[in-house]
Amino acid sequence: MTFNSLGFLIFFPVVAVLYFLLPHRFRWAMLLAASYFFYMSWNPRLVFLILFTTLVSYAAALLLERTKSRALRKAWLVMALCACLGVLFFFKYFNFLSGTVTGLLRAFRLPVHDLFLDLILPVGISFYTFQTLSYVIDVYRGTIHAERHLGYYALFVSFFPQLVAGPIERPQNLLPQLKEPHRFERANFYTGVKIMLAGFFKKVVVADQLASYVVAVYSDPAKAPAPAILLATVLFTFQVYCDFSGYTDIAVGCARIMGVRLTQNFDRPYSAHTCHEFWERWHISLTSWFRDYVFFPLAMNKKLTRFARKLAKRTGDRRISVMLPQCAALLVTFTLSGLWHGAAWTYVLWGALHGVYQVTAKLTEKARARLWDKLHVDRQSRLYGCWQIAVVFFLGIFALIFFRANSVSDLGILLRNLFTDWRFEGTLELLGLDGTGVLITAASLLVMALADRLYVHGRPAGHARGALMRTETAFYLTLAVAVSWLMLLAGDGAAAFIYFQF
Amino acid sequence: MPPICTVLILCAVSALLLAGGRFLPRLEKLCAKLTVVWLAAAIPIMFFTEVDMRHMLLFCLLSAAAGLILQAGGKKA
Repeated sequence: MTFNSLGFLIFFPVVAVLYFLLPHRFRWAMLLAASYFFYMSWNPRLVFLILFTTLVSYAAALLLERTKSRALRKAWLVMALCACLGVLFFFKYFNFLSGTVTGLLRAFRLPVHDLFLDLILPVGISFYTFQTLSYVIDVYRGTIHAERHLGYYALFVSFFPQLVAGPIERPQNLLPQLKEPHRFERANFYTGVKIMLAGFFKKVVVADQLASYVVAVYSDPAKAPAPAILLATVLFTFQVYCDFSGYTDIAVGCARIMGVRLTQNFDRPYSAHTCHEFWERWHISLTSWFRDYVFFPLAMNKKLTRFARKLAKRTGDRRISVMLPQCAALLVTFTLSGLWHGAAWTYVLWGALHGVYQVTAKLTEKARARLWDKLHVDRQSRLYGCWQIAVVFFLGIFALIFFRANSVSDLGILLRNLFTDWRFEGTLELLGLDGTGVLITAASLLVMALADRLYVHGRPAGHARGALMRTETAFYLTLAVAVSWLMLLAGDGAAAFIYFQF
Repeated sequence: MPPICTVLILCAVSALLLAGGRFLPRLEKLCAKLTVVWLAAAIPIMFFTEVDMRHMLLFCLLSAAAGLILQAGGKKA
């Protein structure tokens, strides 16, 4: 059951009505049952995986809190991390690793058989595994107390709006809210419905429309000249944003109706002025997860900092002691983030490329500032801001070619064509874009961009607050009409969300 | 008449109504009601003039864009 299926449009109102009708003490049980039902609608057997991860992390947190010995606490933590990450690794990365190893052995002409297991990729496994990991690590660090109520903890792991594609919630934010006795509030209902509607619009109207044009190029890259690749990738940039932020909006809207406020996951990422800022605006819950649990521990690793200090002394360059740990941590964090997105070298390369962007930006920061000063460029001006946004957008597009390519060999073809084949004729035809298609694409992107600018979490942003509120009704009505039309057309064949596979 | 022309004429009416509500404070409520009625009426009009699904979607999008552009235009008149 996906959010854009008709099944969900029946499921959610039933759950919401039951939630407010039931007394507070029974609500967690109803929500937990609904969440498991939602998850089992993909494959009933998958529930055992989420149960395993839930029970292991729940027990580990209790043991961590009870144990005084430092060594034993570390042992419990390592065991819990191995168990949770082991499930993730086996189902998501086993075939990738075995394929890579057998490929390497064959390169050295060693006789090996393929070891390929027929595994299903459990929906949302990366999301709920990371949520449980943050819980166990936080209990280990002492920043939160272990949850004693298994029911509430299981609900925290499996809360259906954010179960399969995030936002990756922290226990500090979600657990207390699940325990609160929420009442039905009109304001929450209207805001939630508006956020959901905006999410449906992004997914059904924008992302699914754009998907057909992008597929046309990426399914047969050998035929695609550079302008077609660039145009398809620009469209993919908006497709992936609308697909994922659309999902998040629906999740946030559903939770809001029930009185729960989920973390903001996107903040107009394509208006970022630097690569660093882009990651503060894109998939915020994942970025902050990697920052807190991978980047900081790596950058502050004692051995690494000691090595950097020694190297700085030897070379006489003080900057090395600060820059080396930071740059190394950045590269590792972004490469891991790429691997998190999918078990394929294209994702790893995409992540690593973003790491290289960040490191380059850090290393050249002062030199760039000097250059702009020499050229007498006002770095506070609007024009300079637009230039920065354009550069970050272009770098993002280039990286997305790695992300979208179906395989490494396809990626090679795409990059070769990008630098050698600059035929402009037939670009629109190759993408399947006609006059109406161009108009629909332009209009839908315009509406999406304006809506993102005018509304923050379903409410008019500061500068639009005094504007005509009645227009809002017309706007949402129009969106509702467009969305429902396309949904009825799509029927059971509604397109899945891109981030479900992660 | 080609469907794109039908759509553009219908959108122009939407935009006029939205602009009326936006710039004529006295007519704000009336225009808002008329906009909603117009959006509901435009769909059967398109249906009977045999405008296809994609053009209907285009109408919805252009009307929404007009509403948002007016809203983004700054303070209320």
